[in-house]
Amino acid sequence: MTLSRRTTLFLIITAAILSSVLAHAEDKVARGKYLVTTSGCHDCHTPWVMGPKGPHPDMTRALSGHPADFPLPPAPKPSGPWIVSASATNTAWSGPWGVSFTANLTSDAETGLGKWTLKNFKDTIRSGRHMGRGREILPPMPIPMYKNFSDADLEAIFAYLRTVPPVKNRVPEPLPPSSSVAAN
Amino acid sequence: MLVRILVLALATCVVAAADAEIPHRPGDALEFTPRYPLWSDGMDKRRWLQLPAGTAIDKADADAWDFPRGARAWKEFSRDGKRVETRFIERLADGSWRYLTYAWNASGTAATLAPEEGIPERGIPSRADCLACHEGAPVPILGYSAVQLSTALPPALGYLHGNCGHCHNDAALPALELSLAQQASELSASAARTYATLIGRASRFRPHGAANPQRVVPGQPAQSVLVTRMKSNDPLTRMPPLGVSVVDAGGVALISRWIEQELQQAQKEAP
Repeated sequence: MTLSRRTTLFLIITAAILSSVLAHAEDKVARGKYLVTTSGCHDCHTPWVMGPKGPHPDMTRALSGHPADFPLPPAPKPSGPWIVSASATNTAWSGPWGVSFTANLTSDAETGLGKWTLKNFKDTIRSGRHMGRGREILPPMPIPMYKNFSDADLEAIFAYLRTVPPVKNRVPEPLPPSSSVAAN
Repeated sequence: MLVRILVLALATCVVAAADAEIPHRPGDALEFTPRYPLWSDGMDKRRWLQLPAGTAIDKADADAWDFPRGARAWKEFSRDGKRVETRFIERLADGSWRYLTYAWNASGTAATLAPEEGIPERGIPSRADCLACHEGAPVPILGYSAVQLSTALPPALGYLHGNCGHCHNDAALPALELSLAQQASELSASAARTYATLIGRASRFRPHGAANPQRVVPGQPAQSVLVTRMKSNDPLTRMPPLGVSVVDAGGVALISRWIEQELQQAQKEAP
């Protein structure tokens, strides 16, 4: 079988465009991974475990948020200038805002960001509201700083998060201030 | 360069000065009341619409009316006969929309432009919160739509449309798969979609201690997360999440009755 010059040219151009698109997508995911790993996302969204050298992020549950199977008693009462407490996993935080639990950022469809759209993600970071429309995102999530990410950076971060393996983990809802309820 | 900076600064001042007072509402602006109004902490509301002379709303798409450039709408909030807040929306020449909010003084005699971040202690929303609701619907000017003229909707569906549907629709929040917006072009299909995404569906929001919460359990409003969230005073739980701080007791009663009676009856009669 021989190909006409026109067909050959078409195939070469198509392959070049496809390769460029794929390379661009890879660049975007790589950029997103770089931003996620250097902007402290794992610090709170990946549960910490105790190891021989002290606590460290458990990368088998990378970015899966506060573990639903980690029961917590009510948070200690604030004392003097010590107004914030964190759980051993570094995924639950108690302070004047109540108790916040870090979100599951993996691609799991039911408990993570699997069904989110890019717009939902950007709206969340820009507005500081869940999905850009719901309740406020609570501390210590640094919305006041992260809202300054460029569109391109947020798109890269979301592109990378979509590649993070799904972890099924339904994070509890936040608790209001002065709540005596234990997280379950 | 200096001239350009001066012109820019002057233009900014002119725009700021122009917005300092509520844009003039002509006497012939059309006053309008939607059939399924948004609850606003029990305040009285009046609404007016003005279109540029010789223009009209293009209603070809019954669910996304196309307002002409230059369309302007005012909504005035009052409590105990005193004006509290006026919100203003305008469609600009480029097709985009702008939102301004004005706070009235204690005697309701003079209003000033609210800052970008709103006035939280007075319940006046920030500009970002304006967008959160208004840009979730097919057309940002809420309340003026074919559904809001419809008499065919069951009251509960009308309430959910007017109070929840601008965010809870398949375009704004597809991940939730919860559609509370009705469509004038296909009322029965959109109602069916609402029932399908509410009844017996697991709730993403899980109240602490609830084992298997569902959005709506026919016959059991107390077990329905929809009602739990409407009744809550906790800002982390309540729905709607913004623009409201007082529970709509009438709305809760309407939705509770609907779940308790109509949905249970419908379930009994289902084959």
